[in-house]
Amino acid sequence: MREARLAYILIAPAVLFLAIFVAYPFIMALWMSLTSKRLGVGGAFVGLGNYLRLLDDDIFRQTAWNAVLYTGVAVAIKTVAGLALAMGLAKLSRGAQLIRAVVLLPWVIPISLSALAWWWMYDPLYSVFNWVLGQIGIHKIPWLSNPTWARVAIITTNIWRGLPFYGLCILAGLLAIPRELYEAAETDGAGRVATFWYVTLPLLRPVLGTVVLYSVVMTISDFETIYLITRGGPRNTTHLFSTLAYQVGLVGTEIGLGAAIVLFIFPVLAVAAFLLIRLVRQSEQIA
Amino acid sequence: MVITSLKSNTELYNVSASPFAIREGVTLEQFRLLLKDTAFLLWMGNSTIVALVVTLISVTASTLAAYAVARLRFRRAQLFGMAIFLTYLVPPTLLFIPLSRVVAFFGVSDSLWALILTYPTFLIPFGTWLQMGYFRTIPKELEECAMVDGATRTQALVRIILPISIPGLLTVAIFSFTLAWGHFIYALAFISSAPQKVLPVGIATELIRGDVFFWGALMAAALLASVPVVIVYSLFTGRFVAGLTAGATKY
Amino acid sequence: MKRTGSKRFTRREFVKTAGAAALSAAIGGPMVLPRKASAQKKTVSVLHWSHFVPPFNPELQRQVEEWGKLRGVEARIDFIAVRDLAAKLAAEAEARKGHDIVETRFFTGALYRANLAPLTDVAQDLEKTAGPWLDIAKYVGFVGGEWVDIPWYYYSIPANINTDHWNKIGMSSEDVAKLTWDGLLEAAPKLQANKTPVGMAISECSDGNDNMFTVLWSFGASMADAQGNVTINSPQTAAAIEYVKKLAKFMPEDIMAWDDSSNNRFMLSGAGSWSPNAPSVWAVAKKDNMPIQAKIDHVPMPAGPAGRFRNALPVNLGIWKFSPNIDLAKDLIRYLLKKENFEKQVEASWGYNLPPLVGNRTSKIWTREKALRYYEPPKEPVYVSGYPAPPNPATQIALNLYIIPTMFAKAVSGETSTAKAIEWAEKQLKRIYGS
Repeated sequence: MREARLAYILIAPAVLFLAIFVAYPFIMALWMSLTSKRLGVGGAFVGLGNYLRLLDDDIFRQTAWNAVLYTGVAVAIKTVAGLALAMGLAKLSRGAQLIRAVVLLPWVIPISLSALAWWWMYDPLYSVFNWVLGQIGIHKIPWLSNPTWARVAIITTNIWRGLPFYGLCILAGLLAIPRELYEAAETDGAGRVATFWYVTLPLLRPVLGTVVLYSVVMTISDFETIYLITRGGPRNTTHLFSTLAYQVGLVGTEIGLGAAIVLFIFPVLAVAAFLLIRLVRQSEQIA
Repeated sequence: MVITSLKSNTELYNVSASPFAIREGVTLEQFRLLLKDTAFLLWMGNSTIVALVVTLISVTASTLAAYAVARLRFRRAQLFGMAIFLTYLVPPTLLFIPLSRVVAFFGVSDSLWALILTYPTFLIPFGTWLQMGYFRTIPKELEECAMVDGATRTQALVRIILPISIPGLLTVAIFSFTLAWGHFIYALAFISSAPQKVLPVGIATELIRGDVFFWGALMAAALLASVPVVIVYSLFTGRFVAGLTAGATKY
Repeated sequence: MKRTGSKRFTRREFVKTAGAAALSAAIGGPMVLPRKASAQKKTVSVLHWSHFVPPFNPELQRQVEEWGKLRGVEARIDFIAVRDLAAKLAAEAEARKGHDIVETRFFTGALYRANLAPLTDVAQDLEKTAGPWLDIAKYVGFVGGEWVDIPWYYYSIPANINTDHWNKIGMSSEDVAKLTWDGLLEAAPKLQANKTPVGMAISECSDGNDNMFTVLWSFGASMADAQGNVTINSPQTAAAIEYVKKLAKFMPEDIMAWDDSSNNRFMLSGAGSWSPNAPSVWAVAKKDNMPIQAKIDHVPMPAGPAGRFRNALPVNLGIWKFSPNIDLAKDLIRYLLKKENFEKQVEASWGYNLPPLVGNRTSKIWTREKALRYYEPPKEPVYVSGYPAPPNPATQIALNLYIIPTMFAKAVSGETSTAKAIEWAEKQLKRIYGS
C-alpha cells in the first residue's frame, strides 16, 4: 500500500503536466472538430459535419492519399535501410564512437533548419543535385515542380532525417541478441541468410515493431518537412494532414475544420497504440 | 551548408557558380551579418536557458514516473504507462491553438515560461518510455537486497538505483535538450517580442523577409545553431548510444 | 507547481535545480513573473512583418518609440517573418491575448472581423487630413458598413525586366512598357533562345495568386462578382488559360514550384529577363551593391483584350477588440499615417511602400529613382487579388487555398484539360462561397 502511495507521488508531476498541457487541449481540439468554429469566434455544433464534408472534398482526398504514400514509402525504406545500417554499425569495431556520432547527426540538427538546407538543395535555380547532374550531362530534374519528383524530394529528406533513429534502435536490438544463438545456428550448419531469417529477425521483432509503429505515427503527422520544402504543392500533391490543417484551419481560420483534418490521423494512432500494447505484452512474455 | 555560409552574396546569386567551390574569396561576411546585425546571440542564450530548464524538468518527471510504472506494484501501472506514452502521439500542430488559450490563462504569454511549461509535453512521454525500458534492465535484486538490509523503498531509489541510472538519465537529457533546442511551433505561437525569441523563430524572422531570403546568413545560422547540440552530443555519444540501446531492447 | 512532488532529491539533482532556477531568475528577471496589469506605464505593442529593406525596420521602431514618448506610454514593435504571420494571428485571436495592433493583409480583416475593433472614426479622420482613400483601400478596409482595419501602405506588382536582355532582342524599356500579352508571346521565344527567358509563378504562393489574377483581369475574367456569385466559368477564363499555356512553353519548367522568393533569385542571378514582382529585386541589388542593379527596370504589365492592370497588396493595421489600449492604439495608427511620418517611411523603404491615401503621395523618391518611374503612380487601374469578389472571409479563403493559380497550373501542366480545370475551380469556389 505504501508502495502505491509512493507510486502516485512519483508519477504526479508527469501526469500533471500532461493532463494540463496535452489532455485538456486535446479534448478542446476534439470538441472544436465537431463545430463550425472559426478562430476567435464561437461556432455552431455540427456533429460529424466537418468530417463528412472533408470526405467529399477532393483536396482532402488527395491529401489522404499523399499521406498514405508518403508514410508507406518512407517507413518501408527506413526499415530496410535501417536494418542494413544497424547491421553495418554492428560489424564495426568497438571504438567506432565517431562514426556513430556522425550517423546520428541528421536527427540532431533542428528540423526547422535542416529542412531549409534541403530546400536550397532542391531549388530550381541553385540545386546542388542539378549542378552535379549538369556536369555529367544529364538534364536537370524538376525537383519541386513535378508531383512525382516533389514526392521523391520530401521522402528523401524524411528518410535522411529518420534513418539514424532507426539505425540506432535496431542496432540496440541486434546487440542484445545473445551470441550463443548465432553460434548454435552456425553449428547447425545454417548459412548467413538462413541465420538472418530464422534467428535475427524473429528476435528483432519487438524492437522493429516498436520503431516502425512509432515512426508511422511520426511520419504521417509530419509538418516541418512539407511546410518548409513544398508547402503542399505542386497542386496539393504533397500536402499531409498537418499541413492542410494548417492552411485551412489557421490561415483560413476555419479551425473546426482544421481540427477535423488532423483528427483523421487518429484511427492510425489508435491502431498503432493497440498494436504497440500487444507488442509490449508479447515481448514481456518472451523476456 | 558550410560552403554556402562562407560565400559572398554576389557569388551566391551567380547561377553558373559551382556549389562546391568558393571562387570570390572566402568571406566571413555572412557570419558577421549574423552576429552583429541580428540578435543571434541573445536568441541562442534564450534557447539555451529554455532547453536546459525543460531538460531538467522532463528528466526529473519522466525518471520518477518511469520508476513508478516500471518498478512499483500498484493498480493500473500499465494503464498510466500507456496513457503517458499515448500523449506523445498527439501532434503539436493540433494542440497549439487550444494550448494558446491555456498559456494565456496562466498569464505567461510572450515569455520564456510559456515554453518552459509546454515543451515538457513532448519530452516527458518519450523520456518516460526510454527510462522505463532502462529500468527494466536493472535487476530487481538490487533494490530487494537494499530493502532486506533495512532501507526504505525511497532510500533504495535514491542511493542505489539513481546512481546506476546515470547513463539512462543522460540519454533522456540529451534527447530532451535536442528536441527542445530545435522546436519551432510552440515558440512561434507563444512568443513575439524580440528579446524573448528563441533561435529557430528569431532566425526565421530576421533572415526570411517577405520574398527575400538571406541565404548565406541562413546557412551560417543553421551551422552555428547546430554547434551547441553537436558539442553536447559528441561529448556524451558513448553513453547516449548505450542508454538508447538498453532502453530500447527491454521493451 | 511544475516541480516534482517528491522531496527526495539526490544532492546532485538539488544543486542542478537550484542552479538553474538562479540562472533563469538572474537572466530573465523581468520575465519570471507573469505580466500583471501593473501600475506602471501602459504598453502598446504592434506586430509587423520584418521588412527586407534594411532602413525600414529601425525607422519604424524609431517612429513608434517617438510616439510613445509623446504620449507618455511604452510603445513596442515586434517583427515577425511574413510566412509566420497567419499562425501568430490565429494564436492571438484564440487566446484573446496578444498585441494591440496587428498587421492584416488582403482580406484578413474581413476574416477576423469579429475580433477586430471598428476603426471607422480613424478612417474618417485620416481621410479629412490626408484623403481621399484610394479605391483599393476602401475595398479591403471597409467591410459590412464599417472599417475593420486601416490600410497603412501597399505595394504593387509591375513587371521587373532586365534591360540588357531586352536590348539584345531590340527592345527598350519603353517598348516593353507598351507590350500586350500577344507582344510578350512574340518576344518570349526569342528571349528563351538567348537563354534569358521570361518567367512567372504559376504555383501555390502569393505571387501565384497575384500573377494569375492580373492575367484574368486583362482577359476580362473574374473569380466571383461583387455579390459573391462564382463567375469563373466563362469563355474569358478559358481564353486566359489558353494564353498562359502558350506562354508557359517559353518559361522555365520550375515556375510551377516557384515560391515567392524564386523569381527574385531568377532575376537577381541574371537568368531571367522578365518577371512580375514588387521592387524587392531592385532593392536587394541596391542593398548588396550588385552590378545587376543598373539593369533592373520596372514597367507595367502587358495589356490584354480587357485592358492593362496593376496588382496591389495592401498591408493594413487592425486593433484586437480585446486590447486594453484601444484608444491609444488608434492614436498610434493616426500617427503612423501622418504625412511627414509616412514620407519618412517611404524613404526608408526606398520607395517600396506606397500610400493608400492620395494626400500622402508626397515623396519624390519615385521621380528621383529612374527605375521606379512606372511604379508610382500607376496609370493603369489598380486592383487587389480577388477583385471584384466581395471583401469577405470566403474571398480570403479562396486566396489562401490558391484556387486560381492551381487551376492554371492544372491546365498548363497538362494534368487536365482547360475545361476540366475550370470546372474544378468552379466546384471549389462554389463550396467556399456557398458556405
